[in-house]
Amino acid sequence: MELDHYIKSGIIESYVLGLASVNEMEELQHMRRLYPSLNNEIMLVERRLERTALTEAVLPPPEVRERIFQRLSWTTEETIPPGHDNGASNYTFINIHSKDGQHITVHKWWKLFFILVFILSKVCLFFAIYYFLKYQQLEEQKRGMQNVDKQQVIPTK
Amino acid sequence: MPQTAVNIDEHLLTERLLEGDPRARELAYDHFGPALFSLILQVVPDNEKAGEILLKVFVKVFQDMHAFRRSGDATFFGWLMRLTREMALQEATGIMGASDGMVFHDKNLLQRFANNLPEGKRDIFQLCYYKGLPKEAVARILGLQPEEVSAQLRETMIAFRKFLED
Repeated sequence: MELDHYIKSGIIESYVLGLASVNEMEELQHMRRLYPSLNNEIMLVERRLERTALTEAVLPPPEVRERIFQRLSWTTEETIPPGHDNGASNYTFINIHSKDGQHITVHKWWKLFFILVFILSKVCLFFAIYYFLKYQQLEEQKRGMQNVDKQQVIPTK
Repeated sequence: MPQTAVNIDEHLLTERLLEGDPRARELAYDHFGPALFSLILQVVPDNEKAGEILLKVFVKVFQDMHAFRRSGDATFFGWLMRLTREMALQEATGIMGASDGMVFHDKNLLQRFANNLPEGKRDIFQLCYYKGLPKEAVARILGLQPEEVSAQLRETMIAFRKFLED
């Protein structure tokens, strides 16, 4: 009878919705230990709410699912202790995660690759300018020598 | 998305989740995700922000499934529901929530229940549930005594029990 009155007081619904105070929660835990059948009452209320919640569900944005499992896979990789990996993950990924789908995720070696390409392009540019100037200098020397030759040939006539 | 009631073995599912089974995680998300998303939208009526909260909820759940065992909660959904509301309320701080304008539609069970309550009790329920405010704070906002708020909330919960039974 005491249990029946307790159940009808709305304490279970208050607990299930997360509205019970700390004291009410402690009291409920105590009552659950005294009356294990109270667990069935809680289960009934939660099942009713579950059934309704499933029928009134709203589909979340599809990218949420993808992001959850992506994040979990990163966490799993990070938590693998050294020496327990499969031998293929001896590197770090730069995790670029965008909301708008305008960004991509790339391996960190790409950074090194782009730096090398940049340096190489600068070296090539330097040599191109250097040899161009050298070529111009040689051309001028050649023209100068041709002029000297012409001047030397004219007096013999 | 109205989801048809699919019977899943909750004990088996939680056992698999405790083992970190990726298939169990996918099943749990597909089954409970939309229901929890609807719950978050009641507290944070913004699709993008609600999606972020849902992400945090599931990452937390999958990373610490043992918390469910420690809680001693009766059902997995009951635990998920309370955790989701708690996290949504934390994230909702500073965000315009559904209860700010006190405009509620009959979209789901709790809102239908709240809309049928007398004005005073409805205000108390909305501030407690959708805002997560303690009874003392609700009493100060509404100019009532904390005991009065507790009493009215208790009556509201009795009414909710009858509402669920009907």
